[in-house]
Amino acid sequence: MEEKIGVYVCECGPNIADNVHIDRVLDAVSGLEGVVVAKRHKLLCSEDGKKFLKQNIEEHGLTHLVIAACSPKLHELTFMNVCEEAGLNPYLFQLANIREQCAWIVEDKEEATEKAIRYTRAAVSRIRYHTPLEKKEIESNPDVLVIGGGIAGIEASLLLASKDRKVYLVEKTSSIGGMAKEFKQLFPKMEPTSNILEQKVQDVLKNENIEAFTDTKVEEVLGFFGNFVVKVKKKTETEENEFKVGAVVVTTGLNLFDPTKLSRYGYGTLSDVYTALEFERMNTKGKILLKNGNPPKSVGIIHCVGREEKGYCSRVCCLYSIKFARYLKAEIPVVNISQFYSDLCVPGKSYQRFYEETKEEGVDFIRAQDIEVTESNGQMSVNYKIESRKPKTEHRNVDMVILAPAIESSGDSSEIAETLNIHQGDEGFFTEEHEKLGPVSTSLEGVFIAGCAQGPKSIPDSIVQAEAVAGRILSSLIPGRKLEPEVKISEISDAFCIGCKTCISVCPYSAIVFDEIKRISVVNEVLCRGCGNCSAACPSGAASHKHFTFRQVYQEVMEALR
Amino acid sequence: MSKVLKIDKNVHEGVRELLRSFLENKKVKGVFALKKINENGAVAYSLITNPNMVEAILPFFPFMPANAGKLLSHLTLTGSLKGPIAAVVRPCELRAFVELVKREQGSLENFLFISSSCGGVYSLEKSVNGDLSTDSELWSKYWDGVKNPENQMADVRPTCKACEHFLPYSADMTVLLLGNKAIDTECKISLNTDKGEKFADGAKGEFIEEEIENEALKLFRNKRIEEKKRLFAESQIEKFGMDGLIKTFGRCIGCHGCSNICPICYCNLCTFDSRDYEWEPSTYETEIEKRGGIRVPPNTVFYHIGRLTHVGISCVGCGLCSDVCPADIPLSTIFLKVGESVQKVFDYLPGKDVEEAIPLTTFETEELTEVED
Repeated sequence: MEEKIGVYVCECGPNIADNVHIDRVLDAVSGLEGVVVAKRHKLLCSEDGKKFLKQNIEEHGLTHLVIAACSPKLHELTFMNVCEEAGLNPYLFQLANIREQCAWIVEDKEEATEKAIRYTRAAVSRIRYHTPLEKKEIESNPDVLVIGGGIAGIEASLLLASKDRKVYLVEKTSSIGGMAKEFKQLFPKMEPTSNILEQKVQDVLKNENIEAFTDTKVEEVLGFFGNFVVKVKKKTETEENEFKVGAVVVTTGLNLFDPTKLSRYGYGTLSDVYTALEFERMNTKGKILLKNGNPPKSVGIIHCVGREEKGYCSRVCCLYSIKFARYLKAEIPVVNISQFYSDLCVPGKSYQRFYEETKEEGVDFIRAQDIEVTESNGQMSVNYKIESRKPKTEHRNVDMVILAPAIESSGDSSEIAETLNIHQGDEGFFTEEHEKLGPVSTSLEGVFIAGCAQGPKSIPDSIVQAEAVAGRILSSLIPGRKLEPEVKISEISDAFCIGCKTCISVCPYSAIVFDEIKRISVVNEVLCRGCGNCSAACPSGAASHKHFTFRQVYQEVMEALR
Repeated sequence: MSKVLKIDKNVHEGVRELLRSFLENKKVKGVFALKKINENGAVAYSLITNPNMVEAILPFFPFMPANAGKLLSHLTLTGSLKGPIAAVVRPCELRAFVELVKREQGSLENFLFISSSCGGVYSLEKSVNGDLSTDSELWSKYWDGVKNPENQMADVRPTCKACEHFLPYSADMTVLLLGNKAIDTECKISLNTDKGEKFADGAKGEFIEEEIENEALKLFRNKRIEEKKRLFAESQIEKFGMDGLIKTFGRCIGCHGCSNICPICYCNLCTFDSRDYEWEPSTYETEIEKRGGIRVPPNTVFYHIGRLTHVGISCVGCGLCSDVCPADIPLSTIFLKVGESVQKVFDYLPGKDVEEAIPLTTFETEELTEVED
């Protein structure tokens, strides 16, 4: 079939028309081989503009459509839909960006026009080599695996479970509730943790659409978004349990930095030095008492234990340290409390007030450096340096020390990362797809992260993430609806592939598998998101991107530079 | 100091005796080495299991009929060999094999690698027309050169004369040839790995301790580095420009022998042999219009530059491309020079260590900052 290319230049109101001689762009393309029509329009993305395009496609029997207008980020989809409505394969369309990349940034109108001409001619050159790509649909399983039964996992499970969506909640310890169940009260409102948590745990256990496994480990997760096969194993059993899910939520929580690594705090050597978690347990299980059975008269709370070693702020330690002052004041009103901090982190609408109110109750906040806990003649003391114009060394006698250790990634993160094929950052936490644009998704489609598995976080923030994950899954994995995987993906030629696996090592989506029999690499069309890494890295020219073929890119660049 | 096995025989017979004992004592299932094919001096790499055939092995025949690295890749492409195989290969051949293994084109498993401090080889031309046999003048001249750094291998290939990687990097055993004046009466084999020691255990001979890096080797290395500098300077590659490229590669007859013989060129179907590189009539027309005339078929310089970018990072400088080029293009000098420049950028020595990843597959945030704005 002979190609009939239509080129349409959008004025975008005055946006393009004011700084590009549109008629000259039209002149420059109308003589090109295969171009049967070249026209301008005031605003192609308007209802009128879309109607105009549709009519033109039909009237001229266009086989290819080139539009010179705004950024593809803005209206590529709009125009692809127009193509579909007009019966033209949407991948036989190319958008040249002559607004953001020409009209808006090139001051001189002549130069902007010259650039717009090159871009538009390049698009025409490229489109001759486009091939129609077809959308695909695959069946999907709406069920979800949640790994980790802490507050984030519980929240996500409760939101996701419904009569047409089963949730498998897998917890490695003997009960669900996570670390929060160790906390007596929650900052800043000081409500008992049980008010929130126990109800939620009960809701999980009673929910017939949630199957909760305790003392259980995830052994294997294979497959891709919409179609994962999961194997889990209970500690006490030898048999594995197998089920299918469409998405995986990782809420594996945290570990606490081990303060014995820093001998200066006296943890493990001095008798009344406790970690924050030990102090919480003291509060949830009974009274605040020293090892000698007496209540403490003065308590030092040391913030940022391990912050320097880890290299990040753990976000919640300042706040729970303030909360500990409340625990202490409520039980022992006469107790002296000194908080040793290096930077106070009390952001948000309610935490500043929580801090100020606690301070007013007579709690000392001391900005200190080089903190050290020592004991002589049975008297423990916190020694520290005050930074001022004249730095000085001071000390305070205390009979109890509470350490606020940094939050670390959960101990089994590496194992989980390997099982799921997701990435960990340098700090050990799982890496989100994008800090701002994809904070709860991972590089592997269908695998999500929430809570402290992603980084240090408060309970409200963990819940927010769990809700975000639920939103992502509810909107993309709809029971009964098929999935439409990305169409613009990579492919690997059987004939060219030498099986060197270079592509597998550079694929961020784990979308390439190795066919052991043919000894070649094969793209999983559901997992591939078309980033093009493999086609750039392939040493034998076997991997290519379906919509950025060598020829398409070559023709486009050659024409742009001609 | 290294552990060295000393056999009281000349190097050729010493190695043959060791290989024979490996086969007879069933320490190995097979031996891979250069073997005499006929009386005219022709040799080829062969895989043998019969101890009686060891007699025909010429382990250090100064000729490279093919890069053994490529041959070992063929042997192990779809899986490792079951029994242990003793492979007698040159240092650059071992490096080529390691590069191929990094690309999943073979397996190092179950090999006992026996290499040597290598004196280089004669060119294909010298070797195949009957001038080179064990009783030829070329043969005795070669061994004079091996023994004595002052004689510096007058007639071996330019690439070999300029090769400073004459000690193998990952061989289990190294037969000490270079600078050893007693090779006609003794065969010294350095045992570099536990595996090497285990295989040598019980061999006929004496176990001694010896420093491998001796004065003679230093002399060889200096001479070769000097020779490389000279070769690179003479080639004037930096000054090529487009004119130089056209002049140098213009005489290419398009046989693609260089890519067929190259151990690193591992693609099973070269893009340059595929339809991808055929021009369309419209492209011919535009190009003719633009330039007033073109070479048919086009892409000659493109082919060589393409090969340079593909294999440069892994080029071990084995010299076969120059050997086979019927148009006498100094390919191996160009590839060695360009390859070394690229390798230096990534601090990468191809074939040294199988654990060292190919730069293409590694990413460092602080890398090549000098090419950024």
